[in-house]
Amino acid sequence: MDLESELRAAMAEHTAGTTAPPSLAAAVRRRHRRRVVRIRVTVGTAAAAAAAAFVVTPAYHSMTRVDSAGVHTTPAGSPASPDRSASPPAPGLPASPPSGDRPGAGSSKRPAARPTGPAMKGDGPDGGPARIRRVGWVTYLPPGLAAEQPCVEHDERGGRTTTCRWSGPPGWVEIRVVRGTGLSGPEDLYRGDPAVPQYTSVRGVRAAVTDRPDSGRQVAWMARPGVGAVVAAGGGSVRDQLMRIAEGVRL
Amino acid sequence: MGRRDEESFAEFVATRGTALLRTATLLCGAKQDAEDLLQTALERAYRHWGRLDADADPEPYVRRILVNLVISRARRWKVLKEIHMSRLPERATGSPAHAVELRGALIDELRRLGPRQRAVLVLRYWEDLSEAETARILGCSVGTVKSQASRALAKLRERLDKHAAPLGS
Repeated sequence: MDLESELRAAMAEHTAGTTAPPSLAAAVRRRHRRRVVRIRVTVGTAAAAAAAAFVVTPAYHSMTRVDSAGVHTTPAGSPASPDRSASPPAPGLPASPPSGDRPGAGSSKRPAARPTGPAMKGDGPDGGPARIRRVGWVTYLPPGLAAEQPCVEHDERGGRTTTCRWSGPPGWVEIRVVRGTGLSGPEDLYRGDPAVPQYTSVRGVRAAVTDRPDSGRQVAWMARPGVGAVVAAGGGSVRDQLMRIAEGVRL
Repeated sequence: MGRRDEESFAEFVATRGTALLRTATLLCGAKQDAEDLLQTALERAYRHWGRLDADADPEPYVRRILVNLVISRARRWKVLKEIHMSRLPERATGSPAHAVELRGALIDELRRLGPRQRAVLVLRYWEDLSEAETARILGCSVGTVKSQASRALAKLRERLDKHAAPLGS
């Protein structure tokens, strides 16, 4: 017998007892289903990760931004509103408050489009060039308010001031964030205003409350050395919620 | 032109499963590996089963997947061996009773051939495919099939002669 015939016989002998299991087709289908599930899970996870990265990255950048003076700002937690939503305000354009009436309900859900238009330039109170600048988190605004204009930044009294303003039927709210090296206390934030201050605290920091000439009321405090905030409210029921709005400002 | 459905897949596996498993056993050597390999090949065929022509025989398609899988896996294992083994693994020494059996020795030597040469021999002498069909499945020319088969048989002959000489003496 030649080698080829021996080889044939050897192969036949070797595989004589080999039979496919009856469940082979079912096993193949099961394997196929597992593969499909694995692919779907992988694709879903990748999509979720991409979506999370898309949402989280702007939020992270807004939380850990470095201001132009080189001060690294990170919003601190708030004992007054521990359940606040961790959303930054819209860059440039102040967030319009939704109808929710709890601390944290006033923050915008996601950054809005970058503002453009005439409000970006020449809008400073002293006529100087104003720049659009995002403020820290404004986690609470009373319902019914809408942004009047994009937040603007201008140089004032040796410091930089970022001003955001909202208004609506219940009144108006204005938040000013002042950055400067010459600030030592809340009194420095409203220099020139003739009102006599009353003292209180915002987020555990000494704050000065004063009445404004325009029937509004404002509270000023130093969030940290070199950074102060002035929250003003007036024109209606909003005035009574001044302290709540101030407590919701994260700098 | 009709397309294949789920039932035809189950029918195909029921009728041709054993033959394919035997081919897989010869192609890769071990029965457990063969079952796994066959399942993988059938799963790949199952993915595109609905697109296969109902009038055409799907077996060459599955057989081609099987052969490609064996060759790919052998290539991958070769790389792994080169990475992980600082010296060649010891080869099992056959018992004298086994060694004198020419057929058992033939199967052992068949396992030691390269995957392509082994595939050529299995397709030519087990599946009884023509050189042209074998070339189609392996994706090579008829001349390559001829030369691979000739070299594989020569190796078998040479190794069997070496193996049988001491036993015969």
